[in-house]
Amino acid sequence: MSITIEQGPRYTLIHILNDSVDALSAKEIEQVRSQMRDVTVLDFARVMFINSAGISALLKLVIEARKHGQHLYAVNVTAHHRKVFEMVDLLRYMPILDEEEYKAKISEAA
Amino acid sequence: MSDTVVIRRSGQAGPTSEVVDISIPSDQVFERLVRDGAVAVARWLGFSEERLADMQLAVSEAVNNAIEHGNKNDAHSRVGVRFIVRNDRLAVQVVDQGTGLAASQLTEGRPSIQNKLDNGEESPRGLGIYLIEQLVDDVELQSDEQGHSFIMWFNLTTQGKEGVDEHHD
Repeated sequence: MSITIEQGPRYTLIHILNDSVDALSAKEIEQVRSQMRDVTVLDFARVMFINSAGISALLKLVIEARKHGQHLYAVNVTAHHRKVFEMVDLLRYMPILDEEEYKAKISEAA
Repeated sequence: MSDTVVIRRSGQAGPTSEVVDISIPSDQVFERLVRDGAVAVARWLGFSEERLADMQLAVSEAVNNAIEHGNKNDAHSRVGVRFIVRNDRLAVQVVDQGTGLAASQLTEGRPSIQNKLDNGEESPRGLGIYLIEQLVDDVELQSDEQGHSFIMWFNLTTQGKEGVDEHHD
């Protein structure tokens, strides 16, 4: 299993343990759609590489969140991945939280 | 034979003639191997971490494009990747065995995520090609009856197009 999930009443925290978010890991990431709650946070701390196949998987989570009026965030994103997310305009739909913002979001949704 | 991965290094040592060839079957599993090869070449050339990450992603996108759109995921068709150092530039050439024109894949502008959200498109078209165009210094695409050849150029004097240092927030 390359993903672990922590949940509270209104939040889901998804730790991606695979170092690559690519075509091979995309399916597993897409499968967390059913576990998303009001606030869902994707933790990229272990992720070293993301390509367009991985971004497409993340977009499926964005679509699912919007469909249900939920909010999707990212934490522990490298500067390179932030740059790539900006290039494809993903940050409009999946903002990156810093440590304090992340704690506040989880606290609000607990 | 189709599952064979071939890596060759040739040419005289030095900044003007070094060549590394990697040949893989059209299977996503082997794309990771090419990605690792790109990292090794980038480290050998002394790329910054940001420039290395740019190159790794661009190579990944080009190889995936060759596997999916060039060779149509046919594992019997091969993808060749050649790293060539020429003067102060690195060329990464990705060759597939697909047919049909591919030049229209270039310069479509940024794919729209909003279209995907509004219209339920499965995947924004051209996302990988768009990223390549943003990350490399120059790109060239040729097609003939043998297949497609996608060449990405990296200026060795450039340290990342955006000049971003690698760190976690």
